[in-house]
Amino acid sequence: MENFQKYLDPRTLASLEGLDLQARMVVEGYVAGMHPSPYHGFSVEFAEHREYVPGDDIRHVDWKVWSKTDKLYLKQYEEETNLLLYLLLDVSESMDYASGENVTKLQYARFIAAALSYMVLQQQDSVGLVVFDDAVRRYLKPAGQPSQLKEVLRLMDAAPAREKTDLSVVFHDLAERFKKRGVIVLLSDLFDDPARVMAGVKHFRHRRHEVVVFHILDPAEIEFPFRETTLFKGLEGGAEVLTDPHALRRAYQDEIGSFLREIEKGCRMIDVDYVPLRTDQNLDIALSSYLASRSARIR
Amino acid sequence: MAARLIWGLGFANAPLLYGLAAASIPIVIHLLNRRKFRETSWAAMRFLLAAIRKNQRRIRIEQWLLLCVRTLVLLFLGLAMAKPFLESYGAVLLGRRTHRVFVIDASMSMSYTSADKSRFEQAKELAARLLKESRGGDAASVILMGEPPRIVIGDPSPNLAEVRKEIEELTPTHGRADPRTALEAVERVLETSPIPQKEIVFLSDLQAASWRPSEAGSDELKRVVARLEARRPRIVFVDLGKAGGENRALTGLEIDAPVITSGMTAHVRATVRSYGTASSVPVRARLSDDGRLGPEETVDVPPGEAVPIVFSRQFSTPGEHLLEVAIDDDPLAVDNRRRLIVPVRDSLSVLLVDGHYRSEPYQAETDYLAQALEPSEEEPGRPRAIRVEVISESRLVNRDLTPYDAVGLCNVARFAAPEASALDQFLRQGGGVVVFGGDQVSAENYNQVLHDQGRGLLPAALGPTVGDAAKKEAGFLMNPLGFRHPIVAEYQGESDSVTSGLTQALTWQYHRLILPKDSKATVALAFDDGDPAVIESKRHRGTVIMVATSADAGWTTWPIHKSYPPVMQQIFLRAAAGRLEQRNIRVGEPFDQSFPAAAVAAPVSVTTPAGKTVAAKLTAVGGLGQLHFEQTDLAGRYEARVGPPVGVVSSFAANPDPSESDPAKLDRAALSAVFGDLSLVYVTGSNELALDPGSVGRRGELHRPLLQGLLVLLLVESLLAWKFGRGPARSRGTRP
Repeated sequence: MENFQKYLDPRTLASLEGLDLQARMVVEGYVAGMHPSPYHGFSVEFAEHREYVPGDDIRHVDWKVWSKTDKLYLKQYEEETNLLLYLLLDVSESMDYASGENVTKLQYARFIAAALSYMVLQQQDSVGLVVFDDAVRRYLKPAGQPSQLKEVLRLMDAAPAREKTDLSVVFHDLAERFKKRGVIVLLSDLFDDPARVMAGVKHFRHRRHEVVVFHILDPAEIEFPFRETTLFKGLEGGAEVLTDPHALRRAYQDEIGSFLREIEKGCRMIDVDYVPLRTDQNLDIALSSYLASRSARIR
Repeated sequence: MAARLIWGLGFANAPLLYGLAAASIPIVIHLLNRRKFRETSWAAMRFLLAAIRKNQRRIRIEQWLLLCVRTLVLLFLGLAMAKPFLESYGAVLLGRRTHRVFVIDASMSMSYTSADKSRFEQAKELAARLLKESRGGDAASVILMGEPPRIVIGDPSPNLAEVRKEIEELTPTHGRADPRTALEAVERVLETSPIPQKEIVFLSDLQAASWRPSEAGSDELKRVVARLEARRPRIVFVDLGKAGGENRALTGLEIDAPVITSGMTAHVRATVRSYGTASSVPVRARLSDDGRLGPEETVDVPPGEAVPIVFSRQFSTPGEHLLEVAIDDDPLAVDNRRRLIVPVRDSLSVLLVDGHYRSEPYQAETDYLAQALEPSEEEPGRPRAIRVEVISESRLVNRDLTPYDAVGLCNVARFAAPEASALDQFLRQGGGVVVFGGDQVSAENYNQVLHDQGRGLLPAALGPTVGDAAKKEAGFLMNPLGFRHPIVAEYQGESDSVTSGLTQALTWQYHRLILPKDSKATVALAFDDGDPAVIESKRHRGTVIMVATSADAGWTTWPIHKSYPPVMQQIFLRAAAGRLEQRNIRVGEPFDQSFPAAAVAAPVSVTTPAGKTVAAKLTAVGGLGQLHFEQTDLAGRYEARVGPPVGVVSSFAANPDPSESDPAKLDRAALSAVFGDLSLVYVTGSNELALDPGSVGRRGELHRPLLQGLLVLLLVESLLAWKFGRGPARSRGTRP
């Protein structure tokens, strides 16, 4: 029997060809290591009411409600509730950074997106995809057909790294586009002004979307392990700095630390799940965080 | 390898100074780093730029600080490898052989004991420890600083264990120390030393009495120091003394009679002195005679003052008596005792040489004098104090003077050279010569043979006679000069009726005695015209007394006055005092004693106070056997035994110099003043050396502090590097 758990390591996963295979391996690997089954949470339980429209099956009319309110409502069950998962993938140039043997942040984000898509479609739910940098570059409407996975993967594969990120504009734009409520999974390094980022995320929450933020960073961006004099070339824009990173390490860590704290605090304030991720971490953390978040909300 | 001096600094490994260029390495690395760098693409640029913007100034300061520390690290390393030393501490180079000369003060003050250990023992211990710390290949010499200094090991000895053994066996003396002669001894030792690098280590209590030179000695000392400095030794002074020390000492012990004969009662006078500032304390003094305890006296001695104690003592038996006075013990025990050897004679033996010898009573020149010295109507049963023998002047030349204590020359016309020589030899043995005038005296002969322009035995030249005894007109009365001189001191305070016996004696004629200007002779009596009548002067160990007028009644009425016998007895006792004095010497002085010529071939040994027997030799001098004994560096009784055929035992006592009892000492500044420009290292033995005797050898070396500084700098560098770069970030938000 193949040990699928090894595919939770992003570097091992990167050695596989094709995102569909990679997505399957991540989920299989994850499932192999899980107890109990993640599918358990999606049972045939009552979920919500919906107004009757002509053509609906009257078997699902809630007569108790009709007797009290004189209005016709249909009972909707969990298995019938079509979950909408919007994957928001940041493909700006900053996501193209990788230190050492690690995969790029973009690649890591793609693994997560693919795995989640695979998992969600397996559960008969719908998944959609937004690829953005400083604007929305690709948009795939959510759908629940098995062929949707292929479409998601194709769009992600095709998405090249682009220019500077301007998240707030993108998020406001998307909040207006997503008509149906769903779960928004944001995959980004969020390298922007934290206030503007949070303003965009808040817009999603305003539209009553569930939001899970996967904040993906390279280990080097956290630890800043450079010792020799280095010329740093900015990935977004033409800034270049020659400096002694050794002497700057602490100051840099102070800066990025305060950025991370601000994002985390912002997410907590508006009840958004915040999952910090490093590209050298196993992918199961991302999946468990997502599923834990989902199950908590359903209950 | 020669030492190079730069700004008062010497460098043992001067070529390694080129290593200082290594100090530029961090700067070069810094500059190279700015030219050589790696490139990397970077996403989190906004955080990097913010960090730079906020910390640029701090980083620059930190970088300069680190660069500075790293440069200093290499600078210190380079300097330490060049082994620098301070020139002011003397040029002792590590790694080179050193000839170390230990000069150990052995004077009496070094016997001062505190905490059950004398300073001399401390000095020996320190010397042994310094030797132990010496490097392989070093050599050592040892000089004992006494009077005179003793070169214990002269040639530089590489066998340091043997040197330590020699030092271990050294004993202190009870004498003085003379820095000048000690430095001359050091000079002699260094003269023959083939080792170019030299170090002199003085271990002394720096007692002021020894180390502060007199006005005259100061220049001589500075000349010796200058000669020594030319050899460029490193000079270390280890001060073992302690300022403000307290001490009580017996500083004097004397007997009031010049010569003691059996049955005589004399006064023994001891002087107790208290040094220091402590309040006055009662001091108990005990007299003992030949070990038998005698009377005891207690006196209060105020600080800084001397108090006399007088004991009365009757000497009933003839022979040598050892009188000892002792006070209670204090830290310096040696000066708490003083001894006196008192030879008690049956009687004094006086030879009178008569220049006008007659057989009829009171016609000869010496009749009155002999009667005065040895009265015929003595009390029955009482021994005679003086025994007189009279000879004519012609028999003087053949007479052996040794058995006599004093010789009286009365109206002797002329002296031949052999007679003068015999008399001078007699004076060397401590004998006394009393010269009287008279009508037969040839002033010309006396001046030529006996005075010899001040070189001879007579202290004064004879001038023309004054007055005319034939006419017996206008005589001269005696002027007692206030009875100050011991010869007439007995009359002091007496009534006129008593003193008139002396002052009313009339002299018609006398020789004018002409004293040289710088004469040390004292005038005991004068005539009323001011000319001296009686002169006393020391010569060699003996005494010469000149009386200007005649011994008989030819020129003066003095012989028929009552004052004549006691004054004459006093004159002869004082003249013979040299016989007594020679038995008591100061520690360090040589002891001389004459024995009969027959003793020259006899074996002689001297037993010292330490119980050690030293063989000695008599040398034939002027028909006598002369003992000259120099090893008198301990206080106490010495016993000289002359073997058969003579078979004589003779004792003498050595007492410490009172100046050695004074605990006052030189401090560092005073020491520098004594030694002028000589640069020296000064350490106190009690503090610094007790902790680390090796520090003497390392004085002036700078590489050790440099290496310690280097260690500190390395620690600082690590700390700074950690603090500036590697320390944990203050931020807690950088979660994985």
